[in-house]
Amino acid sequence: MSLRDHNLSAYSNRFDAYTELRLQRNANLRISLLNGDVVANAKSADSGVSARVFREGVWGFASRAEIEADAVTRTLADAGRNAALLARHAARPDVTLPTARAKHAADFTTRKPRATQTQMIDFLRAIDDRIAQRYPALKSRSVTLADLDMEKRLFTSDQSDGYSNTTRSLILIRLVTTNARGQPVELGHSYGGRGQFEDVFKSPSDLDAQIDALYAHLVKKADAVAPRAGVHDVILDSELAGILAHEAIGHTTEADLVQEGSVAGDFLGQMVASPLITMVDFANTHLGETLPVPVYVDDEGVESRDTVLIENGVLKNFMHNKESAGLFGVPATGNARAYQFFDEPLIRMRNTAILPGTDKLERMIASIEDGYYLMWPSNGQADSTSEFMFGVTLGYEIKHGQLGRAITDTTIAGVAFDMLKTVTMVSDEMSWSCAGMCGKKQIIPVGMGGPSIKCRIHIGGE
Amino acid sequence: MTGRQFATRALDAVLARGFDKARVVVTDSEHHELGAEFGHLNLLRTNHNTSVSLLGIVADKQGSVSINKCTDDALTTAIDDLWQVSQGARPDPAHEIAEAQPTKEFSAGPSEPDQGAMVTRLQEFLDHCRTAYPTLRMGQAIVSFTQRKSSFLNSNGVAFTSRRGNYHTSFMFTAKDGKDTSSFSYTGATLSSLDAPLASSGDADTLMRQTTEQVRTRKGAKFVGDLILTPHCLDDFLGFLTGNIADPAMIAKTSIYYGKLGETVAAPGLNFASHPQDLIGGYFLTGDGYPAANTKLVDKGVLRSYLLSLYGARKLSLRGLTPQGAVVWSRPVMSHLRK
Repeated sequence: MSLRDHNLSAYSNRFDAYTELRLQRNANLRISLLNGDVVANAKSADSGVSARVFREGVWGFASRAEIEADAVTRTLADAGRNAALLARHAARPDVTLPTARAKHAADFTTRKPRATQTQMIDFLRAIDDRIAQRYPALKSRSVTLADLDMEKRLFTSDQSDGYSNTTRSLILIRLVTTNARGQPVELGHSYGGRGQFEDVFKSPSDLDAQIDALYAHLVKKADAVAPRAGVHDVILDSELAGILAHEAIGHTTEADLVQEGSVAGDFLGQMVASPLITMVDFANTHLGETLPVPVYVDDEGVESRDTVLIENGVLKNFMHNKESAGLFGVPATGNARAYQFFDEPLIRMRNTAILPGTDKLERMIASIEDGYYLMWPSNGQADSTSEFMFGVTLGYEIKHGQLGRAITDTTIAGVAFDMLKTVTMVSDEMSWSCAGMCGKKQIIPVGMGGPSIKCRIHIGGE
Repeated sequence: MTGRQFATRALDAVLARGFDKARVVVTDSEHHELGAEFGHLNLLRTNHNTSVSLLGIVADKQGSVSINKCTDDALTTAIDDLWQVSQGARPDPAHEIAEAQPTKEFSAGPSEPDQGAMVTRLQEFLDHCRTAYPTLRMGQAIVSFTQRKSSFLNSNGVAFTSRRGNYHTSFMFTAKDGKDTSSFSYTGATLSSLDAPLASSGDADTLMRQTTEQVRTRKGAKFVGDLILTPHCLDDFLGFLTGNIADPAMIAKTSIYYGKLGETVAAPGLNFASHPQDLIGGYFLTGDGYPAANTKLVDKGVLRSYLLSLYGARKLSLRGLTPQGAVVWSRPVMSHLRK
């Protein structure tokens, strides 16, 4: 039975304060081949009900692993009791929530017959076999399928009514070779995005060109040179620019982190970037295209709307939930999201991107006499000050306007609001990804996108 | 029906479906959380959850399925899924379950939260932060209590039950003085009681003081020389070691530590051990179903053990070198590792 078929409004007679009632089911699938062996072959499903009640300025929350009527009723009662108990100790009647009413249903599950586990393993094996046959010199190879379906049904005392089934299917490929000194050199990338396996991956051969490109990069990386430490002119490719925008700028503009002291709190209305930079946290759609993590009604029942964070270099807005919107005196933006049924909604990004400009990537590279083209990130971190540090797993020298040798794994670091002021060119194309999870008390999928940008940045060197 | 009874029923049902070997873990958990944001108590949360993890091996083909329901209907569906998942796999004789061991019950920590103490201690902590560190902005401060009761059964006759209850703290903070802002910082601790003030737990006071001292920082000149890494920083470095002595890198033989048991891999001053038995936040069993043992990983710079699962050890034909410490089955998580 789909969660969509549950009539949550039937419980509204039990709401005696502001209440959110949510049913949720998360389903994960993971299959992993390591050098041809199936080393992971697992499915999991977690579902349950949660209720959150706001009373006298404080929240009570409760959840259970069942979704039957009795469990829903008891969970509502527990949440109400928790709110009342906390209000006795810490009531803040001055804290109020704006009212919001929205209704939407979105279902991104496939209409095709579901693939069996055998079919999915065979699909991965076809990819793996081709890699093994075509590139026998590889020291190691892994092919992993990771699927996540998040189905949610929400009803609030404001009469908001939301249903969503947001899906993601990714294939991650990691190749390892050795360099002339016998040291392992690895490179990995993920492919896929929104949708279920059947819709995202049609044929194993669809990935051939991308895997060939991955291997070509790896071969060049095996002969890589260490970049020179210091500040250089660089092109950040879209993937790297996207994660930098998310981590180093996006988080500083989440209203809860602004309240905590993020430097962005002092910059509203000020120039924080080159006029070439416009950055938006999109709710669900851009240029008529559904984005990787579409949110139509958030987990507080607020209609999600695009939030312009930076417009032509000026910091314009923060991302809000109901409580922060009430405090800041602005409309809620629909950014309140929870990962599991037992999680409370937090202010989270959805699909965050720097918008494309007018420059051609080739001309951007040609404009650099001595610098670097940085393509893929690994993990990294950012700070309330917008300071950041990211690993770079793939990059190339730029010499006299031409791409040169690959560079070894390195790091980039800086202050994002300073770095963005050095942007002098923004490419005219844009790409999206949603391979990772964003962490902030809870993990959650996010979309990141953007063009390539030319800027000056500090490279960590060897 | 108790968790142990459901685990027994589930194990029988998995074997009846046709699996050669099976493993079932049923865990009931309850979580009580009191949270504050920006210095004010604002959330009281209670969660109840269940986890039923099924692993089956048939003709050397393995699959696993996890659900969070303890009902017969859910179990039937999960076992059908498990069969389908396993049929899709390829035979691999390295798949195995733990051999028979004496039945044992484990228990540690309180069995229910002291909610009054949670409120008192967290409010006391917030008051302390305001008084002791006026420039500190406490974003999220949480004290929680979690209890997990698990039953671990396999078809070789392994039967363990365990219960562990702990308090946890989590604090995230920044210091701000005028327009100058420090970095985010965070810390937390796992506690068996709330007898002491939360600020004195772990390194909370140290990190909060340091954060208020780092509102105004200055760039140093380029530096090459000796460094002192604090324990917080060292964790990140040790992650490289633990990642490279564990299954994927070892099985693929791409680890720089492959074949280096007994060899010097670090400075002689470095000792690195896994202590799941001693720490309040430790664990009783490895993922495969062996009682977790304290283990020296690096002893005076010499690599003494890998961190392999049973599958990894069999894949590398390293099985049988225990109990001398050459191979361990445990898979510790970083918070349980000691420097």
